[in-house]
Amino acid sequence: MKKPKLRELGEAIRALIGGPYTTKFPFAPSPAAKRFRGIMVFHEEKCIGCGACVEVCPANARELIDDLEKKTRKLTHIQERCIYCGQCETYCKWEALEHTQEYDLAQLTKEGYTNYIEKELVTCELCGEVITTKDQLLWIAKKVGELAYSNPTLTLILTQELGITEKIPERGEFVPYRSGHLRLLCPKCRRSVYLNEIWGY
Amino acid sequence: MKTIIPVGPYHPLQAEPEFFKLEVEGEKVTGLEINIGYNHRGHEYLAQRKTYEQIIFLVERICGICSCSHPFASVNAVENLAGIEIPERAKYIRTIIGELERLHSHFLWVGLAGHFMGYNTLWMWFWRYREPILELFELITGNRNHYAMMKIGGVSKDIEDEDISSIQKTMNELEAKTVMFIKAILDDPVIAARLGGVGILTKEDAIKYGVLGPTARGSGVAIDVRKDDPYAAYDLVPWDIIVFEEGDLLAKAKVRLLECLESIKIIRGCLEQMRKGEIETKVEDIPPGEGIGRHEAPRGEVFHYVRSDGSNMPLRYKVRAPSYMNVPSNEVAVKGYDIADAILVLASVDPCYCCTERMATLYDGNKKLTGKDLLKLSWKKTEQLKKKFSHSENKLASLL
Repeated sequence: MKKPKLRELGEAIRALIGGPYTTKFPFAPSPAAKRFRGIMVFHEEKCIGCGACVEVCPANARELIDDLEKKTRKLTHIQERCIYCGQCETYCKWEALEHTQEYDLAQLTKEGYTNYIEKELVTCELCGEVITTKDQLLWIAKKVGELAYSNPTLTLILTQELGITEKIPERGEFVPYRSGHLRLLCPKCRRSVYLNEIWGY
Repeated sequence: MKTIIPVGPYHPLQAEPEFFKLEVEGEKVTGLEINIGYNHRGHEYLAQRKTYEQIIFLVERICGICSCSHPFASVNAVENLAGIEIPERAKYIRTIIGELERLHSHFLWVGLAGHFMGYNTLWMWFWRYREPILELFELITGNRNHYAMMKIGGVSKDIEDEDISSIQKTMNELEAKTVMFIKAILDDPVIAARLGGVGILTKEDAIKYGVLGPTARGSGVAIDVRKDDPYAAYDLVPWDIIVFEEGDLLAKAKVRLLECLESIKIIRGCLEQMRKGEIETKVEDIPPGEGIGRHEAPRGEVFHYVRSDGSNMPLRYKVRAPSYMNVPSNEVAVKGYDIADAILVLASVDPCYCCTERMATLYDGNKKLTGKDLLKLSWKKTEQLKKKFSHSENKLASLL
């Protein structure tokens, strides 16, 4: 009975000398581990606005809204819905999303919880549908190399970006003839424009 | 004379909603009625509207303590369905994460058991040494809980070489401490008197109720998914099943304590045998069919069932947690003991109600009640009670 208690006494003395085991968090910094998944930040310059992060998010913490009037794509990260699983960080090929080591989310106002980036959107000249963001078209053009010049949409975007043309010229009424195929067209309209040549209008 | 003591819906000990009706005669418990269903969150329905990759993060949040066991069973189910073979390194990493989780869950339970017994020193001790395990989790996976480590076809993160030394260091420290704790608990006459011979669940009853995990192994039923149907790296490293025949609370505590040592053994074995290599195989697509996945969670066997039609979302997703089987066994385990012991017996199966509740029955399911309706119902009931106890109303009126 008496002997075993010595063991616990040793532990008690150790605790007495060592002081409290808990960290003094609010008064002293308590840094998180290197791999810790904390508050999420956007790197706007790296993002191309493809929306892969929205697809993989299990908690619907990310929203993608296309504004056709302003021609912008808004990618929103809603911090209070985020479950810090790191899926978007894993699947972002461009490292535009990053979990920081920050974990102190408590604040008095709701401001800053929802952060977003806006990307310029390219729409189809014929039907007005969304093609994709300008950055993603440029990325595709860069990836396929000279093959980009076989696609008028990519060519137009690329020449504008390279400063060859300042602005894509606005043309009046659009007739879906092959002669007018040098336009910004969505894949569906491009197909119909080419097929109209064969099938008649 | 028979008296009924309600325990819950908010448990006096645990912060989870459940409802026990204890029938007592004097001090002795003669019967128990179990009512659960206060914590239904519709996980299965939600899972049928998410892709297989997203489901892992959904089921991870079924339980906070064993947040690796549900994803583990989930990936096992999907891999069983699609016939995916995972790389060897991923097997070892999965095993390490599963066993670290068992360690911290058992430490939590023993600590809480100490707290329920009124032995708060034990509680503080165990939770103090549980902390390094959680820090290890943060180091390896990036979070103290909800590790997001499982992935269909492997694991999402690799264990780096510099982390291996810190795991080994923590394991060495922890082993020394666990041995000391086991001796301290088994030598303690107060614990022996409080737990020994209380809440006996016989082997027959254990089989009859189909209990799982440490509850079954404490009653002499040697079942363990890790041995019976090996998955991950459990058949590649040496370890033993801990079984005790007594079936009382002390046996259950002993099973859990000695399992901690076995877990440390498994983790060491994994770290020794682990070789460099791939951590995931590429998953092409999920074929139509059915799959089952099992994992020995700290509380017992977790069972996941998935049926697919070939799309990226399952047609049916079913989850069965160990507490679903363990909690009803309280009916027999609690009979004939004092009320003070009953509380310990109810906690002894390490119940997890948020794991358990997969279904809720609605009476008059078409009716939707708003906040106002509920208020009206509440007033109605107050009126009824007032009529029933009209004398007390008069008393109250005179007081006011």
